[in-house]
Amino acid sequence: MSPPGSFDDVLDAAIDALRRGEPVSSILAAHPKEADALRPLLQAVAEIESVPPPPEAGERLAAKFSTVRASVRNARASRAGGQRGDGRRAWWQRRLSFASLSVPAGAAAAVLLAGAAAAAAGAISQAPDLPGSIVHVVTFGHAGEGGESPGSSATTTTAGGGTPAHGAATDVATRTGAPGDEASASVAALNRTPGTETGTPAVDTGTPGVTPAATATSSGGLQTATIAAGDPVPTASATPPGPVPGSRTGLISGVHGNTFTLTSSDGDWKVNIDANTVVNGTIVEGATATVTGDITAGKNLHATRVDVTPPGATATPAPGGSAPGPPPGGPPGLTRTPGSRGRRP
Amino acid sequence: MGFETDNQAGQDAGPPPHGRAGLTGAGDADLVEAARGLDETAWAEIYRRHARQVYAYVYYRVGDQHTAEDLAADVFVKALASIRGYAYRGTPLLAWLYRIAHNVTVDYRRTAAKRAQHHGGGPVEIEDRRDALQALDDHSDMMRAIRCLTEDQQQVVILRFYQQMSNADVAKVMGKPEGAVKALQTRALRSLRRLLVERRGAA
Repeated sequence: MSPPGSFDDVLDAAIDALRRGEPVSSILAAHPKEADALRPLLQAVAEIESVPPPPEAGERLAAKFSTVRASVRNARASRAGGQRGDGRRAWWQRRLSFASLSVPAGAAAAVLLAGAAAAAAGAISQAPDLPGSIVHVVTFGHAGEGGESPGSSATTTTAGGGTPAHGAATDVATRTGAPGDEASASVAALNRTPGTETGTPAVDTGTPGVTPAATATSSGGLQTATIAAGDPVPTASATPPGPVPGSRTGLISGVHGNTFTLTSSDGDWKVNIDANTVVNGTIVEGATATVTGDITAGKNLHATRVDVTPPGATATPAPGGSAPGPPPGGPPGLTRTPGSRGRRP
Repeated sequence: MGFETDNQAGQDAGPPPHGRAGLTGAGDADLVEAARGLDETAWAEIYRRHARQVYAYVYYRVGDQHTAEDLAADVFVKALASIRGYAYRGTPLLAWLYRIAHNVTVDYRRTAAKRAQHHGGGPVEIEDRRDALQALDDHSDMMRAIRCLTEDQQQVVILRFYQQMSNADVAKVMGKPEGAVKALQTRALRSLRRLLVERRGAA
């Protein structure tokens, strides 16, 4: 740091004077002692400022916002995941807690097996003397269903759980035209492809592993948004190898970890949700839900979006199966309940 | 040009063009609050206001448009990652973004230098290649000289002379006293002068 009245201050004042349009000669005349030192530096300032501005940032910079938006959604999903009981713990902590349970269980199993082996060996060695030895059947079960870790809740609610991997295409497919979501709409407009504009089969559904061509073939050119609730569902035998986008509305008749049963007009559907599933509302038994996602074999529906109407309220399925917009007056997904399942960034 | 005042919003610093009606005119404090809540429209508004300034800053540091655009977006992603630890205390949001931009640029240059060394060349080689591409640019000498300054000196020169900021504002961005910024400015100008004389003398 320079003391007051130092050369640094004189130079700074000279630069300000230069910016105000004062000629160099008068500036130097005002500082005769420092004139020799000031002259080359003011010359350098003039040279610096003569460099033209950078090239105008174009559409590319605008399109780059999709990266930021994807990160926002990822962070939101992560934060929602952090509200779950074990979501705050690091992966190694969860592994440790699993190990703390499995090590004693394993030791107990080893003791039982060793005992059984000894008994069997004894039985074999004494077979002629002791026919009909007892055989112990040892079974091991899982503590929870569906591989859920302790603390996870069926009433999970996530929102905006997009990941960067999904990128802009996902949002174009599921959010274009969503009322009230101006940021998304504007970004969708920035990233919209000709395919999206025309609604041709070339639109990417954003479903991992499904190419636009596969989508077009399997669904006859229909997108997620164009398959209405209650449409006929391909049977397991008729279901093509890849997932088919679809939408179902029905009653939630059972919740098990990250899956729930949706009883619709064409039967029971097993609905899977994951960190990328956008859930509006709380998934509870007795509620009505409209699920949009990918139909896989055996009446399974991998949900990309679930809109839940609480029990007792009137169900308002998304028109044409399309994704409804966020609630007015607020961005999507800010009303979350603890226990949502999120992916760490 | 200094910082925008708290409520001087709406200056089209970058896309996207729309923002939620409640945030287009919002001041930095409200915007930061909404951004901390991971409000997508708040981030869209922040990007719209400041993306171009951040891009320009990065461009002067790296000298390549596409790289600058990529890094500018990185700045906002980094800002998002650390928004929870950011407390708005009256210092403009842009100052914080410039600080992140500085760090992002420094990281980029270090990585580029390491990569160049790994491939047998050196950072100088990169500069030479870049300069070869800019051979037609009359001002490449100056840009090259600026990138030879220390990171802090570069920051002062770019903010002071290209972003037309006052010393007080530069001090806010850098988190240094004004006197320190003035000293950096003097050293930067002296170094620039010397570098330019050397280069032109050698040529």
